[in-house]
Amino acid sequence: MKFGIDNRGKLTGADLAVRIVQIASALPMLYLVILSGMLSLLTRETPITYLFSLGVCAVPRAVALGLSALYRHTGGEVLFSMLLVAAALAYGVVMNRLLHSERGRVARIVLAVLIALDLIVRLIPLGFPQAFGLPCEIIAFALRAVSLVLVLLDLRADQKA
Amino acid sequence: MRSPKLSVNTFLLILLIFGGFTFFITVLIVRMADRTPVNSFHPIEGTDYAIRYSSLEPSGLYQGSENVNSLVVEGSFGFDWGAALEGERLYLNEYGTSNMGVMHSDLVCVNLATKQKETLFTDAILRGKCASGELVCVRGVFLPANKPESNVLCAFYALTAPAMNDGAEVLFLDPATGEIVYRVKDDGAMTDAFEARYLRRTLEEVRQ
Repeated sequence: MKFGIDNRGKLTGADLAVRIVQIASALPMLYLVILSGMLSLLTRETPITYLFSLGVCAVPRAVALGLSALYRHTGGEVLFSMLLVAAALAYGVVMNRLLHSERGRVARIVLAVLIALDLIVRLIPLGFPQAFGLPCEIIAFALRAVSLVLVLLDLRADQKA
Repeated sequence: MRSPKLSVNTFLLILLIFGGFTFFITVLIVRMADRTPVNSFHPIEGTDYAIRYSSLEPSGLYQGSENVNSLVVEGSFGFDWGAALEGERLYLNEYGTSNMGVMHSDLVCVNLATKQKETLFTDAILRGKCASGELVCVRGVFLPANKPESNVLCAFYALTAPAMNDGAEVLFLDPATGEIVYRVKDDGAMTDAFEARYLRRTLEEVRQ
């Protein structure tokens, strides 16, 4: 697959990076929808559990922390998961417009900086534990790193063009 | 051909609507199925106060008898573990429950004179008094029924709970003031050995 700016509407690297966050954001709600039909899953570690863990690990760390704080204060799984999906939807729509507008390059630079900051935050031991297990954290880190590479490739292709 | 970008957004939109309906219907079914009214009244020994759990009236701390009483402070308080009275200060666990049933506990102190509730420690469970009379509470733990080691919602809750990130801590409190007189880190604080290790011993013995 070739990454870069493609005016014919094919996937660009930045588009893929946006989509990684969007799909990750949907995973916690998928887990909760399954859970609402079978509450006993809550006290067992099953493969479905990884839907939630991977989803929370893969979204930007600041978003995960904000949602956790919201959850602690409201006790609302429905609230935070719906907010997360709604935010992912809004993020997709806005980024879609920005990345394919005249300010597409600026949007890519901002996106690359944000992803880079998120990666740095993940490397700093800030006190909160690796709550969801190391495998999920490693996969999430790799996904974010791939996102950064995709956006940078996009920027490079943009520069060449 | 449809843009794949639109597909992801559409998928999220469908999930949002579908998820909303699913949760709404689930909650509705649970409420319809649970038609058993609850009204239990638990007097606190040596006082005119009682803790009530009710689906008919607000749950909380009441003053008076089972039939004639008035609400002092609203809340879902525990009477089972370590509710303790010292003068006008009543120490209680206050339980909170999430939509999916994850429970957490805060240690609160109700001043019976002013009828004011004060949260002393969040994510803490009052377990009782030790042999020398100090209150013993465990901070930074979930209620054992949650099985936090396999419950991702507990992990999500703990992500921004400072007390839970540092590991469990056993606190000894002066019942007269509610201040900490001794603290010790113990990750096995919620095990069966807790009573023998802390509640049956005096503070001096624990310190040694």
